Amino acid sequence: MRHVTDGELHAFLDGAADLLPGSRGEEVRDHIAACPACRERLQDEDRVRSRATEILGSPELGEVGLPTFEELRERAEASGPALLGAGKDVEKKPHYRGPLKGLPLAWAATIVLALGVGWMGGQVWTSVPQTGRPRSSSASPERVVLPETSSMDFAVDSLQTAGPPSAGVEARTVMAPPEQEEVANDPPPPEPAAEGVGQARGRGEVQEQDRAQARLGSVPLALEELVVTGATEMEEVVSLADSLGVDPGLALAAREMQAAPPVPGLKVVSIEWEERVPGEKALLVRQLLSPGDTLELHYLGLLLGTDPETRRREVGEPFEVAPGRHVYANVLEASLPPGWSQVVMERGRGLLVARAPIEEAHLKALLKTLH
Amino acid sequence: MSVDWGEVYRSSFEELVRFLHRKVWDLERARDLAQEVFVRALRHDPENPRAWLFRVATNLARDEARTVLRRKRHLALLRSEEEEREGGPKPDEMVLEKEEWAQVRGALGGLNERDREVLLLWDAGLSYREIAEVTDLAQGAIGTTLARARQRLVEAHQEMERVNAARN
Repeated sequence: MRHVTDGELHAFLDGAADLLPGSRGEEVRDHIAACPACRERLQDEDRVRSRATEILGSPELGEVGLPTFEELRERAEASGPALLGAGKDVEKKPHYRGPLKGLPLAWAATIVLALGVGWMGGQVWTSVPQTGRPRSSSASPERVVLPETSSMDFAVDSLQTAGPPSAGVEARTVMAPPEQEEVANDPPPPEPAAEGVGQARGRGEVQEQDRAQARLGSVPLALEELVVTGATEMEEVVSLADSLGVDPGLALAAREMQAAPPVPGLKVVSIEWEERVPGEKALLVRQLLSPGDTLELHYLGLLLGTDPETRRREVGEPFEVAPGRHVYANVLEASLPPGWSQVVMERGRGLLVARAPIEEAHLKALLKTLH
Repeated sequence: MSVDWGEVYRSSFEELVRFLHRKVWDLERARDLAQEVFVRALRHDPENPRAWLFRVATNLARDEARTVLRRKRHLALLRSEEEEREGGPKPDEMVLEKEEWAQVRGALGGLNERDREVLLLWDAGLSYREIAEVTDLAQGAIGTTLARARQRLVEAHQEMERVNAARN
């Protein structure tokens, strides 16, 4: 009879040998009784098992503080039509994963490549006055289509509060919906981004969606905590990042930036990314200019570029409002605090919008050193 | 067959909080999420309550963990570099309990998602059968997964202890 595997030993220790396929459970028991080597291994595995249990049990959680069952029942009844007695699990629903479904590595790699070499494409300097309004005619109009004034309402609303941290105002960004490997057994929380896909939507609906997303708040991430240490391979970084709840693409980008900051010599303080509409990624990198002052680098059209047609091709479904507009409006139309400058450059397939509390000429000079 | 939800609640709620805490690392949030899971369960009345509870908890925690993590990092980011240099909390000032949690968290972070999931479900008291139902793994594969996960957890924890000892 063959020796017992580690998995079988653990099943035996956990009292689950009977769940092994066929009559293997009985064989395992007989073999352990007859084989000194496997008995010794059993003791070793038992020590590992005990130690693991000990680790997981320390420290104790303390007082959990239970609500009463009646309180929960009242909440359940108050939260909507009761399904008690239905006796059936909720039907599994596919979880929307956006146009990048199944491609986390692909887009992560895209970011890394974009940050590394992809942005080395032709550059067109376009600076804007310090009022924060871009000179639309100079901002590469064949690629950047700014929304009509009427469609900018939401952006203007949100931009009233947009600005760099040093200005004491929180920049509003929205993280993309997390990738889900499994289908929830419970209806997932409504995802505004998912609802619009596959439907022809009116501009108003899109704006409402974006308003909802814009309320989610800012989520800048400290670079030090983003960089997944101890991993050398891309897949390892992705796996570790995912296990830590960090977006894998962001972790990869953070790792790249730690090694090579966009502007050499300036410490990268944080990076964040946003997805106001599915598939349209934008990345914001903050580098420290001097204590309290940061250089903001907004990489727009990061994944799919700026061309709405590209977006349509990727998703396979048309949008009535080009998604890039919202992303662009959010950044390009942002009010600049006094003393700040903004410079817009074409980078690869997208745009780089740089903002900093320095003169425009100095900002341009700084950007000439960009990796 | 009708489910005695009062009994399920009494027997599972603390384990659910514990399970969620190992995922979101915030007791208050874990408690809130556990309540949310139970409220949903009471509304849907699933046939296999424990597996259902932990499956939904897993999915809720996955979203929640990211959000909470990012909020915490946001707070960390708001500290200026000078503040960090002058008065930021140092590891040796952290209370022992938090250090221990940090070690457990770090060790769990070294596992892949599937191994961690199975290990935490076992730790929460689920049977092999229930773990298989929650994770969609074959029952026969649970032992193998647990064996690997436990081994890695112990090794990762040992490594963290070694690093911490060297640092202190």
